[in-house]
Amino acid sequence: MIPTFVIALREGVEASLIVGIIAAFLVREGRQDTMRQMWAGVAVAVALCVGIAVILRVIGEQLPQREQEGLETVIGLIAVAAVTYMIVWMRRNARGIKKVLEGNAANALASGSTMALVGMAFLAVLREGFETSVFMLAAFQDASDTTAAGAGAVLGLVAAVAIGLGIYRGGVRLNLTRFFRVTGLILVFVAAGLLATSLHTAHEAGWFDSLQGQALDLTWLVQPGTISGSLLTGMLGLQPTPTVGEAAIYLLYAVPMALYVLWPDRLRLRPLARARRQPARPAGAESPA
Amino acid sequence: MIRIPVRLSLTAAVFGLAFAAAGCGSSSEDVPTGAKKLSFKLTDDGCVPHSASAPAGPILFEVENAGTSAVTEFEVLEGDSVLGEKENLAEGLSGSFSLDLEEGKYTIYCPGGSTERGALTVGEAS
Repeated sequence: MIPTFVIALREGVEASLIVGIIAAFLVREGRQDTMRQMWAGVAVAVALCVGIAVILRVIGEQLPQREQEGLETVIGLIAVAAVTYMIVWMRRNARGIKKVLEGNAANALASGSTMALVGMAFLAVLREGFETSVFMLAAFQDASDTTAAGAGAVLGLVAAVAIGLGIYRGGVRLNLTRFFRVTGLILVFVAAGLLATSLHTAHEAGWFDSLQGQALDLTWLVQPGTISGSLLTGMLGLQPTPTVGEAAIYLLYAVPMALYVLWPDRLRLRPLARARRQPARPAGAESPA
Repeated sequence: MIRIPVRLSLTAAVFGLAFAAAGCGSSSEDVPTGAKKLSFKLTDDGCVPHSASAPAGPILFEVENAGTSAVTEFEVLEGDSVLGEKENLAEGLSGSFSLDLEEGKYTIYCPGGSTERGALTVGEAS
């Protein structure tokens, strides 16, 4: 049961996380009206993936692995752009938020952006959906013990959805400034992971063969076949043995973006003249978040 | 209200069609007659056997997880380039794919195993 649980969890948790954060974001922005559209998009994506997986099985075809990896790469890169946009938007608005009454920020998010997020929820599900659906069917039909394998796979997906739901609930309850800071930071690592994963899938699609040497051994942290390993790979895009290219692109994205999100407002670059008048602040004296 | 789901499902349909078309186009999954069959098991030790050989031409790779949670993937590489793979093979699952390989040296790769890489030697066509 555990082996299929772990794979279903890994495949499902990324989409669940992204949909959860988008849902919380839309609600915090007072755009409950778009929730129905978001769910419609998610439902269509699920139906599409399951439908195609069933058709492939009925006609006895395999999932075209290269094309599927290519699709994951393209959607992954779109997701990185969308998530980066969310991070920047949150960072900008976290500062001015005290002046604006909570919920009144609805107008700040243009409806075009809202639609982009709704579309992103759809794509996030589509991205892992094909592979997950094919895997689920295999667990139910091909496994040596289909009951255990099927149950494990279903429970893995349920756990993934529960995590997304938990993030949504937490996101709706947190105070807005903190919500922006916390989700902003989570999203930085999610996006960095997506970027590294996209490089990985691009390699498997046959598009990118450089920098494939092993950079690190993270098997002590990301243990293959364990629940924690699945969560780290699924949510943060950490591979047990990342290649040089994957590690480099992860850090190149994560480090500057994390600094951007965490940099205290008071230490922002200001005109030199003003800065000179103020005494140097001792290191570590940050503004209360 | 209704507009967006329609647009979404259109996008979905386009993606779906593209995907289905891609699937039909690369019907490499149909096992060619006379394909040489190579069977591998995924174990904690990696792909077993660690090395294999076959004559040039169509080769069917049959992969079965023989009870490991560390390895769930099997790849065939040429240099650093992935030629074919099977993912998400949990314990008790098996899968197959076929490749048409020319004479040369290839790598079989089972990430997570204690011996991750093995050799596939493809000789002259028989």
